Amino acid sequence: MIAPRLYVQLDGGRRVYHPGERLSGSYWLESSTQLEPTAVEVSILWHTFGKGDEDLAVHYFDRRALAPHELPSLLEHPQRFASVLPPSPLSYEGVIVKIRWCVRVRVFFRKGKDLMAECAFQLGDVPAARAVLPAERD
Amino acid sequence: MPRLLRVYGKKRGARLTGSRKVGAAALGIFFAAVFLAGGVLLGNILVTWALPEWRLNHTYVQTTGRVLAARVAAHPSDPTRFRPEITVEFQAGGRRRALATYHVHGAYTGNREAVAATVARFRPGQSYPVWYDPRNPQRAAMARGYTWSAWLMLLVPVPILATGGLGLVYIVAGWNKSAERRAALAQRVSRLDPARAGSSTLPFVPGETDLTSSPGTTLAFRLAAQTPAWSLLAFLLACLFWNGIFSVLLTVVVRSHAAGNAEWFLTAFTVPLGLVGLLLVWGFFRHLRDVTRVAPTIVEVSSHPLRPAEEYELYVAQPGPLHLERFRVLLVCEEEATYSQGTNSRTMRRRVYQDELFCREGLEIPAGTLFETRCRLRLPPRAMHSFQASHNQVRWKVLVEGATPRRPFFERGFTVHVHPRANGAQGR
Repeated sequence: MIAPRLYVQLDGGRRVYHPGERLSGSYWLESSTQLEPTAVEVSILWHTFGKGDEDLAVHYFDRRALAPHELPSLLEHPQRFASVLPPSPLSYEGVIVKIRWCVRVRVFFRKGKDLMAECAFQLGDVPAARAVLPAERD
Repeated sequence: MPRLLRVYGKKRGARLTGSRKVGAAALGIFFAAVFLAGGVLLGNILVTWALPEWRLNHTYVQTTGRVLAARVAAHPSDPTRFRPEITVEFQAGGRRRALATYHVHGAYTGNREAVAATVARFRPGQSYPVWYDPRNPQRAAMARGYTWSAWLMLLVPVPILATGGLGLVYIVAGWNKSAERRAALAQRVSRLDPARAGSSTLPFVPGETDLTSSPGTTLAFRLAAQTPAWSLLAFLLACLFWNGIFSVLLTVVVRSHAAGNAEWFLTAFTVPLGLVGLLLVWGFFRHLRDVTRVAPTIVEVSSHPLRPAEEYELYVAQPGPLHLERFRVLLVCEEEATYSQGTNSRTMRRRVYQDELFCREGLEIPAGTLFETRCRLRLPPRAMHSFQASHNQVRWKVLVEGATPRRPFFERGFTVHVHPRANGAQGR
């Protein structure tokens, strides 16, 4: 039995966007077994990683509860998503603060764990930062 | 070299059970228990205090009774608390009844004089109005009206109910939901409070209203200094708290010595406390001197908020008297990350950009004069904008620092907000 796989793809294979630009793409589920998805969530979000605790904010969020007749379309045909990107926060590769944008798709099943796939992209073109002084801690 | 035995250490990050669901369920049970406790307390106050008083004033039947005796009754287990007890005879429910009462609560008080004055109002053998419960005439009172304490007590369970209720709502709202869905819900709620997420047009970029509200005298805006007033206040409070405890102990110790019954153990315990108290006082005055020894610095900027690749004029003024080995004005960008370590919250800062805007070696500012300088401030074309989230920040500031002989250098920060470029592109 092959485990189900979830794919997310941005149109044109783009990875760098600017604020105010339209981001669009598609997602689809590939499985050889009989699955019972109950809902699908598509989010365009940013989250921080690095030294600090994670901050996460959702720019676009769409949740669709699936009726049984919707299952074949989700399984066979790519589903579309699109949104105009906000002016901030821009992607940032800092020393202890890093901001990462991504499209995250999550499929929930009647039984078992949910399935998640991500596609990261860059908003803006802020260069990576470098430390100029040693760390200071409270 | 072998690693030393670590007696005490804390884990990085929050502690979690293996299952988020189990953790949430345990938290849900806790909040439900708190809510239930609040409900039980509220019910108890209602049944014991508020409802009897309300019924006394609305449903009790008035009649006339003859006072047989009136006395100040002491509490059976606490002889310092009293209540009036008026033995009254009255007709109710088709028969004569006699009972000792005054108010439906039957509460005791420590004020014996007030109770005696109440008792003195009732003379045995004379008739007075009596109010009795038509459902149970054995419950009667000689006085009506409301006591504010009975209704004020209804407020006691409110914080308990609110804590339990809000906790339950939080658990239910987040139950079986993804992190993204929880974040979307939280953002929807936070939009009700516009002050929380910075300016609405630039999400998570700090608002500029606090900085642009202060006009400058030389340039457009005067920047507010990051004031050390809070640290000074915290120091002062710690000083007062510690030395307050110490002074109480000192009084006891001095009295014991004066009475010839010296408390030597307490004396030995009080001495180190006094030394710590003195250290705190010394520390506070040293901090106060550091804060006040250099007159306030004035920094003004030609425009605000700042944007990458644009140039601004900066005006810096420093009043004397001051003898400085070096006086510098810097533009800096700092990252700040707050993280949990066990039950503690720690903050780490890292400077990621520094540009020297002005530097003067050997600066003498005589008393009553002002050293003034103007310099150009230019942000890098692809600079990161100011960013503020719950645990992570990117902060820009103008830093004024001066090195003084034989004293630690002074440093003053003036926050500036950097916004992304107006066309939305960062060096496009």
